[in-house]
Amino acid sequence: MNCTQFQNRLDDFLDGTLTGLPEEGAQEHYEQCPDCRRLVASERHLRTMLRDLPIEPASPGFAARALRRARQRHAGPGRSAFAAGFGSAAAIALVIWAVAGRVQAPAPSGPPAGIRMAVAEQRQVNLVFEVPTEIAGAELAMELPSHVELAGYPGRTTLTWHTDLARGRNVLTLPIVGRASAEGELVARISYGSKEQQFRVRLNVEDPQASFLGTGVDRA
Amino acid sequence: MKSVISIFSRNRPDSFEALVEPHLEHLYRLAYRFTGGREDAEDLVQELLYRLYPRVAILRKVEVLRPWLSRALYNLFVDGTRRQRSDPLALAEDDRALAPEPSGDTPEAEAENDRARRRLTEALQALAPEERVLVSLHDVEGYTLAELEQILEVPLGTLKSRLHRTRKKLRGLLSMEPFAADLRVKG
Repeated sequence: MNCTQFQNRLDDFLDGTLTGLPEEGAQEHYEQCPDCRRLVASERHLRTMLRDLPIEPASPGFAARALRRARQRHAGPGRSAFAAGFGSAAAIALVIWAVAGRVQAPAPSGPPAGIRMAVAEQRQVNLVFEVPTEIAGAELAMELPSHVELAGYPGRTTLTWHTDLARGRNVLTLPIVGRASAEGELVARISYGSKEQQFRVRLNVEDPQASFLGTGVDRA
Repeated sequence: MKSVISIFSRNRPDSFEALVEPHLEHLYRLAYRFTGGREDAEDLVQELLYRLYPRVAILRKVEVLRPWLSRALYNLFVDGTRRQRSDPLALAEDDRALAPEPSGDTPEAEAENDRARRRLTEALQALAPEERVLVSLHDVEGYTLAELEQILEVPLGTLKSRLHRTRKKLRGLLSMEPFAADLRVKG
């Protein structure tokens, strides 16, 4: 095998896909020809550089932003009867109750009184969204007050999901942990197209020891 | 997050977001290799999502989504470059960008590596779009020719010969051919 023949088989030689006589001939030529060995080294170096080419990461939040924009572009007026009436307080009814692990019957209708819990206690808070019609591609955002956190996600105060809402009852279960004695609000926002609706839930965390010692803050 | 928090009890696992989100990072990588820059890559992926969103019913029927999405991205990229009628050889005419840098035994090895990477990136941008896609997918991202046959819908033999020609062209652009013409042919 001469240099021209070897060069014509260079890719297969480097890829290890030569077999039989061509493989033997190429290997023999490679061992005997310093110029072709330099060529192989050069090509291997090029391939290494290609594999190691750095990639600039996408801008922060790109994936969520891109999906949201795609959804918003196709969510125009008239696309959903729900979207048209989204701003109406009657369009979504929100009932909230807190239970220790199981979803039970809904609390009586009316504004929620809020949720009381103790420092270091974990409470399963179920947010129930009643929607009149199916919504595809809604964005749900949650903001937690600083005196609570989500179990397993220390330090996270905001969460965002993109999800479909089924007609009827949709339950979001949040494992809330009380971090410090304080009172604040959990804010839930639902966005669809250009519409947004917001709900607030009072979260009152008490320190049992402070109460015992008579140093708890009376927020009544 | 889904493993810890129960999201909506009747959330559809086949929603557009659920179908596409697991592949977005991969699509961005491909788009970056195709276009050579973050902004253009994000624009390309965004445009793909705009076009796919109303076609979620089609996505739900695809058995293996990643190669399908990769092909859609590739087609979109190639269509875009054809519309732009860009001159893929423009960069190649800039000899200053592609001229070999002198190397030496200095502590500037890292700077030399950076320059080499820049030259390689510029050389890739100087390839025709289809050539750049092929080298990016095979040599940079590690797709096998069999996978590329499915993604690009080009026969295996054609892919091999195109890849061979493209690598040769890339070497030429980088001036990494070790042989002068008179040394090319030996007995």
